[in-house]
Amino acid sequence: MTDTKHHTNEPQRVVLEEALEHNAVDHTIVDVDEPCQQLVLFRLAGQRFALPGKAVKEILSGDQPVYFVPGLPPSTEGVIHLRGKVESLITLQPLLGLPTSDQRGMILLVSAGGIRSGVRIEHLDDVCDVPLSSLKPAPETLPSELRPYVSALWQPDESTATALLDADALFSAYQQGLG
Amino acid sequence: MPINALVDNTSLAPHVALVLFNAGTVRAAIEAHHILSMSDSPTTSRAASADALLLGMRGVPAPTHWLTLQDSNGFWQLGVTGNVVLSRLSTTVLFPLPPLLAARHASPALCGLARHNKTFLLLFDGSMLTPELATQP
Repeated sequence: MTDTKHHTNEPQRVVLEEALEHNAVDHTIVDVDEPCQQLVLFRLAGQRFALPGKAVKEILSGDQPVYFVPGLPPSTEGVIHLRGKVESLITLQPLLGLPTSDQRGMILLVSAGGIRSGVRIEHLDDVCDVPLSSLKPAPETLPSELRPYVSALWQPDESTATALLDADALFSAYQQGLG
Repeated sequence: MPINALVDNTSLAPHVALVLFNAGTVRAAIEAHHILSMSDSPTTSRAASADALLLGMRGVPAPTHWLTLQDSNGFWQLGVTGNVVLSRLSTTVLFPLPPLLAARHASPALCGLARHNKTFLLLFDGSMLTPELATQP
């Protein structure tokens, strides 16, 4: 009985070992002592962006009821009621010079410079820790609309680049009437 | 004309007396002590409709009620629509404007929001209202 069980399990164990070995080879080795930064990765107008994890207090579903407040620019959707508090809800596309869409996506509750607001994103990609050494300065070739708000570029591979946004700069510009 | 009174005594929190009305398509409110009376038609030469004065909108239904307020130039009237009610709202449902909204909204008299009947009311500061603002670009 014991032998039969052993034989039936053996092929599965081999598969598991192979899988573990395969994944170990594929993954980049990260020095655990290296300082990291948490990023919330998302898309706007199909482009990849990130906000520092410390600035994103909460990730909310995109179908929160939004109350429209008249007399505000199109970049302000209105307000949301969140556990007894009222938060503004803005879209970043006008400020970043990107086309807007009706996609409900998700809402990031962002806090920066003493201000908190909901920010609608089109798609949440991931929340991950990246080594600080992998963040590169924003290149000069960035579109002029993006340049004031991009603090770094994260390029995990040659085909993917993510612009790390500066939440303080975004809110400050918004308050000054931009976007 | 009397303003219908709705009183919420369910909460022990302090209350604020507000006059609720429609301004264009939205529900709005002004602190009750700013409203001196209400009439069916304008009785003063200085008047403005709420949609134009509070929201910068025009062409929505004509006012059905006129609320009398007073500023440094004397009495004036605010034309409103919808059900006009006097309501005491708990301070727990009154919120200041979130900072980003406060920085960008067009009406200087918009001072907050109130959660009421599962939606929001726009709160306007009656002391900052004057009918002449409606004629400014």
